[in-house]
Amino acid sequence: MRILLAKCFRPFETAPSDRLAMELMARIREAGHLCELVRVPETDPENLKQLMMTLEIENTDRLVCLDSPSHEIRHPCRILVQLFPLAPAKSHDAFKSDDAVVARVLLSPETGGDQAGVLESMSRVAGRDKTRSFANVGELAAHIIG
Amino acid sequence: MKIAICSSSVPFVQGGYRNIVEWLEAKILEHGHQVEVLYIPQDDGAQTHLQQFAMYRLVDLAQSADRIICFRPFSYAIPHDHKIVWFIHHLRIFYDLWDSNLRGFPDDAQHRGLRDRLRELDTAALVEARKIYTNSRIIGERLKFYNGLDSEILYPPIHNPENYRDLGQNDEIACVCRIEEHKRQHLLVEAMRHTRTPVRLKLSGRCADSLYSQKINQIINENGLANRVSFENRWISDQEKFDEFANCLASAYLPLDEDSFGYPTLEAAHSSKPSITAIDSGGVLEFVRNGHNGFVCHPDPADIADKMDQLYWNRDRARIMGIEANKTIGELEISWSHVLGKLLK
Repeated sequence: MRILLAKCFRPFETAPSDRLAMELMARIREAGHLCELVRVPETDPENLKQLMMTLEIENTDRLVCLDSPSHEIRHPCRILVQLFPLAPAKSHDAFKSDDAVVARVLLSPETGGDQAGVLESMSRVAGRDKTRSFANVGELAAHIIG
Repeated sequence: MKIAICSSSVPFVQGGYRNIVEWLEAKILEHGHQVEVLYIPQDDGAQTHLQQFAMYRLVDLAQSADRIICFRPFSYAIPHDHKIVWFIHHLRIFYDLWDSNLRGFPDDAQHRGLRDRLRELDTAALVEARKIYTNSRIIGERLKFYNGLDSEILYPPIHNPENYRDLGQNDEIACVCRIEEHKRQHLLVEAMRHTRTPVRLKLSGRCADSLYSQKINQIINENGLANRVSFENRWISDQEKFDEFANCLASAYLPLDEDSFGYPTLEAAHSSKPSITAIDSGGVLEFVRNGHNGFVCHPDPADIADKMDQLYWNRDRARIMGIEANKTIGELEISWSHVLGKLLK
């Protein structure tokens, strides 16, 4: 399966979520799938939203959106993820540990185009018990692949 | 210095357009600068080109990067005060391939309007660049013809040229590249029907088109060529590639209307091996000069076979042409030191 991860980032900086994304990509590849990471540089929120909404994603079986701005990207098979790094101030090694990160995955491909719509959908989906939490990157990778 | 290298990409599709970015990244890092590579996914077949173009105008690297180096359409639309463009191709269906059967949509008022607007936008974005380099003379000529812009040729080197060496000559003509209809490996296989020497042919590379690989196999089998033609339908390892070029008699690379000289031509030259190409192979002709550092054939199996036989019979000449191919690298200033001198000055 061709799995594309997407997130925004600050150029020339490495945030905890960037390390987590790399770890997730490595886990998915280890499982025998193709995986790439698309990173979009942060800019003001309105421009970032427009940018994400305009992205054309082809040749991809599954899109995994790793932060709120990237939830705007259109694709017929999306998994929306919110990442909650527990120890952003700790050393890089913290993110190699399986219990250092909690990720909540929202399983709806049907979110609306604007941020309010996304949040509303997240809440609604959560109410239908389609929100899953994962204690580590390995569990999250297994869920994405599955 | 903080340098952002920007290009567009199609997810999971590899190719020369990624090599040039990733090799440049490695070389700039070796030079002690900070590098960020930015690939923006783009669908070249979509009918949303104007929106996609506009999207690049929203990418903001003004504060974070000291300089940006842009490659594939429409990454050069990213605004920046210090923008360098290393232009490797247009979105060709709106340019030189407009009148070809590759266009895929009608030549009507709507699409002509889109074509003209895209050309205007390309020109306006490219004018913002402090400097435009192209990866071949052909690309530079197109840029001048369609956009009225001057540029300078900056030929892309391969990643670690020191890994290529000359270990002698076996009986093989090596063809190492993607196996595709427009790379025309079938002409090489058909040429083997006409050869009069025991020269051999080895095709190496991934073929994504099963119909084309069947066609290659069919030509091999129907003509009893299996004992002289080897078809490795896979990406060979780097070490296998180094060995292939090190030991072959010559390389063959005859794509149809290529935009640049092609990495196989350069890999052969670093191994001091001549190349066989064709008169309609486009940018390859900027490197290969007939009878000097290789052969430029007609895209005709009999003519290709004649050149293969000449290389087989006259190995001294083949060796001398290989040495000349190696010298051509220097004559065309194809080196990372030259590239970095240009891009970082």
